[in-house]
Amino acid sequence: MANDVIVETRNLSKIYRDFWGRQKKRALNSLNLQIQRGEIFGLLGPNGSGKTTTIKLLLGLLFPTSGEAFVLGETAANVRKNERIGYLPEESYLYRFLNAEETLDFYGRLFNMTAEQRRTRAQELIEIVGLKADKRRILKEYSKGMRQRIGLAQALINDPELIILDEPTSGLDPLGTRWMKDLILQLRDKGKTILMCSHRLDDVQDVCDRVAILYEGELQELGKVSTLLEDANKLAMQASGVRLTDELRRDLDDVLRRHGGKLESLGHPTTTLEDLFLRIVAESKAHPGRRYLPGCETAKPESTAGSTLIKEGKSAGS
Amino acid sequence: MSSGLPFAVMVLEREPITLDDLPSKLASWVQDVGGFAAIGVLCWLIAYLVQRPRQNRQQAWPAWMRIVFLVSVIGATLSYIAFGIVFIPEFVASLADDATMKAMVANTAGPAQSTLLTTAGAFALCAAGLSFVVSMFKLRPRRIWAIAHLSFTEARRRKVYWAFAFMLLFFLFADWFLPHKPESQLQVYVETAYLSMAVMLLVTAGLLASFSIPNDIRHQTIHTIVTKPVERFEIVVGRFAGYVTLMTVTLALMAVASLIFIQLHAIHPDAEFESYRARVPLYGDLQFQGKKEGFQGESVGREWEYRRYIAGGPNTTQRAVWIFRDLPTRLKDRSDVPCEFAFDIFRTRKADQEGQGVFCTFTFMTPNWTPANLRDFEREREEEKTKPNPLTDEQIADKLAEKYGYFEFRSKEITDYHTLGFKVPAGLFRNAQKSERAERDPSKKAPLVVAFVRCESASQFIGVARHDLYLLDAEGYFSLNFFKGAIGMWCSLCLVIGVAVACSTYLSGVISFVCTMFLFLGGLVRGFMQDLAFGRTEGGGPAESFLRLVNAQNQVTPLDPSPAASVATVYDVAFRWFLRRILNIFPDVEAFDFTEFVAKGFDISMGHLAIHLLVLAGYLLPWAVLAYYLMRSREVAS
Repeated sequence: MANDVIVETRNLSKIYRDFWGRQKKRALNSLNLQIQRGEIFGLLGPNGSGKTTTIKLLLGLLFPTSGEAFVLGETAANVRKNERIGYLPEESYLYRFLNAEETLDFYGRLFNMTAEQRRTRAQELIEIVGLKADKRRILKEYSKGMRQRIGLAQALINDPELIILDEPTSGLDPLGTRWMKDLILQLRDKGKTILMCSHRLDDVQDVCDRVAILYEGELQELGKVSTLLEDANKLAMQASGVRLTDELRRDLDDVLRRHGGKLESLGHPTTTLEDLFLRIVAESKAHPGRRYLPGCETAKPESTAGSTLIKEGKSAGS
Repeated sequence: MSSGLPFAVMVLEREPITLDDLPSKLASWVQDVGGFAAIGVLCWLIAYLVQRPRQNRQQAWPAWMRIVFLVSVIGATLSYIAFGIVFIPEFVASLADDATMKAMVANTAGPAQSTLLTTAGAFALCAAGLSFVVSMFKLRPRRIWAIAHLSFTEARRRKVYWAFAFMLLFFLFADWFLPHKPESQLQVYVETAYLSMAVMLLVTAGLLASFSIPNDIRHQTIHTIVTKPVERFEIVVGRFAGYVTLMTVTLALMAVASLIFIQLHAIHPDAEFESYRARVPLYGDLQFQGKKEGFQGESVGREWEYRRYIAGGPNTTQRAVWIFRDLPTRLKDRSDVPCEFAFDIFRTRKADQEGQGVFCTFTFMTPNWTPANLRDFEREREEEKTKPNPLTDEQIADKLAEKYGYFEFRSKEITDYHTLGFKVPAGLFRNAQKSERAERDPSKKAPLVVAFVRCESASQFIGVARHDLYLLDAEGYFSLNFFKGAIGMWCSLCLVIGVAVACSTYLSGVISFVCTMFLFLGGLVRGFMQDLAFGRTEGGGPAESFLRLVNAQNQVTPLDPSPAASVATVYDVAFRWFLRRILNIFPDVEAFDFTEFVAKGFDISMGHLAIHLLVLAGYLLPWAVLAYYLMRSREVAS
């Protein structure tokens, strides 16, 4: 395994069996993939497609039925590899009778960290995940989003090389989701390798460099996000400083027909609901007392005003 | 067991384990545990051959481990085969039903069988324990302590200690519900305090330990632990250590509270003599002397045959004889040594007066005494008494005991249910230390002092057991002894927690708790199971007993020959064989119960404690190895 390959699976398969050894479900079938150092790798798929099983096999929580899995150059069953791994489970499975500080102290001890190291690192992480004000409250009193934040903090306690995130934005509000995505990108920028699985496609699209798409335990697609999403048969164009008129539409249609294409749709672009939400929250913070009045439309962002979105393609059926 | 028995006497139906027993116990342990280890290794080998190893699942062993494992497996196999070969003559002899042949085969093949079985067990243990031992070096105290601390915090935050508030009932209402004879007031307090603590702590410990790992798996909190650099066995050790710490603290607090309660409580004047004591006794070996050769004491027809009886009367030749071999030399430096005793009286006629006891004479002699000296002894005693400035009786007895090695205490009245005593002059022990036999070869354990007891009352019997008479070496501290008694309970707690945690590595919480309690309660009736396993029960095994029940036949008469009787006999033989194999799975719970020592005022020696800690370790070690393999091979996610 090359040094820059952080995770590698070779024909990795998992069959769940009942007490008598009879097959219940084939959760994963001959998975082959490699994750490079410093990339954000996404595992995509519907429920039951084998994403979480893959992660659990890599972490040694499950044993493979056949095939091999290597993480950071060690076999998945080797406990030593865990010294360089951080793991955030889908639900934040932490001890709810501990508070944030105690939680991080506990996980720090598991890494054999000294008291001083644990204290410093815990304060640092509590600050990063924004739980400074709530660090003395027991986790039982935390909201789901807060638990996800402290869960991420425990995953980062050892400053890991590889961070495995199972549904990292699960249970987070849009602000939290954006915060999590930003943090994932920051971690990548610091040279960390991130493996995340999610069924929220927008999250994966926003942050992942490469994705693997699983369906019923089989690898269906693997590659760079930009490459996978690119449709060579379609053309998109954004323009500014011009109004959409019938004349413009006709002219553009003529041009496209001359080049063998066809105008399919033309209109002003829309922002995402996430962007809209974040903008409104930001404005509400900046202007306290702002409220929605019936009949008054929300002002559109300047960046998109006046812009036109053109989607063009060749003739239908081509 | 102690109700209706003489007060302040230890009733030890089984002799406590001593250091001398350790080699044989160790060999027996190696044979038993090695047998289970061999079964485990065999199962693993079958699974290995059928399933083939999954390369990614386990790390390959280094070469030296593979060699050690292979050598151990081959060694165990060869030893078991050799054992089988040696066993064949005994099996044939058992079929032949010839007593002489059986005895001859047993004498020749017995030691070889034992040696081979021990060797095979040792090899099997080596094979099964190799991975376990190697992994011990990977354990880190900080991680174990982290998990232990977590268990402790969890119990504290979940307010488990409220369960112990029930102990208050004992402190508040002890006097209401504890009827007692005034004399046994302290004894009852001690027994009830220990019982209350034991019930609460053992049940709580069992519940906590049984549900800890299954709950971690159910709530998936274990995912965030095993994905850290934590050896899985560290979770088991951490949980065990955490609950043991919690229970130790609780036990210590409860013991202190109980002790304060007992110390502050007013003791009835009748109980004062027997209260707050911690005697350090010196026991002798009991033998009987009578006209008949090999006399072993009379049976008076009592169902409980713990004691044997000697008949009384002016001309009786029956004696109970205690032989003291290992007496400490410090006894000679004292002015006297108390001798205490409590015998059972069996009357064949009513006493002349209500409550009147029977009379016994106690004679002590050393190896320097010869009966020919009796006349000189008597004469000198009379002379001493008639001197112008006579010595006191005690001084005379001391002087003569030192000179002749003889002391007699005549016509001591014995009453039921009372501890009685008299003082033996230290001169006797000074004489004993001068004994030529003792000086010549102390390793042969020649008797230093022999005590003879003769019952003088005609038509009355006194019942004696080994621990009914002792010399009092010293008096310890009751409070300290109370805490030593709590250490026995601590051993039981460790046992319950260890078994529960080991079971919970594979079973659900409820099933683990049921298994633990089954083993613990089974341990409480281990004596009966032992009798059953070795065919010492009257009426035979379960099938024979059932047959007797159906046929309305008593337990003593031989079964009528019939096909059903043959089937029952064969079944019982198989059942006993199986029971003997699994008997040691059940812990010897009663061995850890020191309540009687404390309640009856006998010091628990440090050696006694140390041996029981060893026994505890010997019992828990196989469970630890089992837990190690179960935890390692378990998928903690689904």
